[in-house]
Amino acid sequence: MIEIALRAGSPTQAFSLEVNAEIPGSGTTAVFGPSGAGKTTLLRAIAGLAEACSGRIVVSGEVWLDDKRAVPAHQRAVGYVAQTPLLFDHLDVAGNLRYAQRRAGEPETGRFDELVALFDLEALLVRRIEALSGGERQRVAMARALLRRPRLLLLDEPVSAIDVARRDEVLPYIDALARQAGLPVLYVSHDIDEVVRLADQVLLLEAGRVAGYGAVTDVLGTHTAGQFADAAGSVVDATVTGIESQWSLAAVTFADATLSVPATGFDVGDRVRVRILARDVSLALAVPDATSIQNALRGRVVGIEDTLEPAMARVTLDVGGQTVLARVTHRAVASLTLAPGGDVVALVKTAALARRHGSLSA
Amino acid sequence: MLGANDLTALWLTAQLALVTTACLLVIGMPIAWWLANTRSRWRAPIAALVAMPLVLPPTVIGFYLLLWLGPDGVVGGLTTAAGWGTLPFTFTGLVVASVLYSLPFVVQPIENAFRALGRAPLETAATLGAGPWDRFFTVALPLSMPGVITAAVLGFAHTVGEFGVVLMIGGNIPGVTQVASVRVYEQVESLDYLGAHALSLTLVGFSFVALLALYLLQGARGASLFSRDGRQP
Repeated sequence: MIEIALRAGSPTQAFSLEVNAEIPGSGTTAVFGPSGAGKTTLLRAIAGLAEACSGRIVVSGEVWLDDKRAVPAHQRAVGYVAQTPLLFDHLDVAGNLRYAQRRAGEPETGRFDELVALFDLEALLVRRIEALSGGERQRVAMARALLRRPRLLLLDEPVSAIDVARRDEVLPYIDALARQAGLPVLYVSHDIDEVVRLADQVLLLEAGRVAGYGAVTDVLGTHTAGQFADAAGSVVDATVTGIESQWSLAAVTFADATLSVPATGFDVGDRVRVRILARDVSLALAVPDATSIQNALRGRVVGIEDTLEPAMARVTLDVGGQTVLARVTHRAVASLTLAPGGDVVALVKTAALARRHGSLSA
Repeated sequence: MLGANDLTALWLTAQLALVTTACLLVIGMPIAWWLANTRSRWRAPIAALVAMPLVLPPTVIGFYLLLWLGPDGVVGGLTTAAGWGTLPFTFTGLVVASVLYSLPFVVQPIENAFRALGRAPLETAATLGAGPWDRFFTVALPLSMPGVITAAVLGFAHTVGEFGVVLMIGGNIPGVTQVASVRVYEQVESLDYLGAHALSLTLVGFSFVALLALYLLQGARGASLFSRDGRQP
């Protein structure tokens, strides 16, 4: 377990970070928030790279920071992969990996070969660093970070510097890394899709303060104010129960509800995470006969709240025990006479799927 | 063409430049590191002090060194008490003077290289478990090597080229303190133009080759001699 009670930034600076959280000893915790929220500062403080931070950091029983002392960065067993990871360009790829391995005091080569295989680095070992693509650099940096034998992995937007089209070349490795290492991972991101895909818990940061912390399915549904309005939506864990390959659709089932979602590359039985944006959900009192929206979920209204937009309301629904959010106008709320406890049909225009790996959510 | 005394002077010059360069790298490296990384308010005064030899007349430096290192000087008193005698008019005295005089030529390229390095490589090394000394020798130094080589060549060449300080502190003792530049001066004084030509052309040739090598080295990296960035982007 990782205990964090941290203050960073001196009183003279405009920005300060204050984070109190207990992070489980395994699984991936996303640190999610807009730019400038302090995500990188948090990671740097944990790694021992941030100046002017105080408080308490305990990682698996080892005190890294308290009132009495701050363990220097090189004595903290973290695997830190920065946004644009720095590889030593006076060494080749193998040299970079060995640099970490030697300092981890690790005599056997088994783990080296294992990580080289995991990240598909065999063909790159003798390459010079300048000859690597962005994605290849990330893979080398992640393998190097693991060779250091960390107790905690810190990944700072590891795919943001890579073209959107090529991110899928790296994301599976990150997924594999979290599972393979069996380590707690703190994953900084401002991309909600990455969070849904990779994280078990999410810690929302806003202006240096924790705006929410908990399981992805809980937090992303409830913390949807302010900066996170764009990401407002619900996340549910579901299972693929059917494939309609001629329409490129997958049927996913959660509780007693089934959704048809555009997806390819999934098989029946896959565990998936479904993200339904509040703006993609309309409400009706009965299932309509003919509409282009084919997903109709029966649910019950749990709550109706104002949003920052005067015309819009956010309606929280309970669909078979899972939370689904809908963003509709106040006028629609009035004309349908929606009220907590009332039955309603949620029309879901579309939803995004992300594959889940069973061993991640321990 | 080159007489025995000329060769002695050249050999002495080479020895002086080698020893001086070695001392300068050892002394200049920590100074450059400090100047590149410190936020102390003493940075500016120390940087100015290190750069002084760039603007001071060599005779002024030589004059003060003569006073300090002489029997009545602060340093001279110490060296005498330690049983080393006084340094003026000895090879060691020349080395001390040359080190002071060429210091900025070594400190500045190395400082620029350290500065261009930035914090990222060192922070990365730290997260990989490398302590401060480890980081310096395995990351900072290798990545700053072009700057260090520039510094060494400049320090060496500048020591070969010095005259005023050497004359003030070392005098003109053949085989002990008579370096090539002083020897040329002596030959011109005694109207031995042929001898002066031989030695002068040798020095012209050496200087050109040294600087050419430096520019070829730097040119391959697209940087200029005194650029802030001594290494590739």
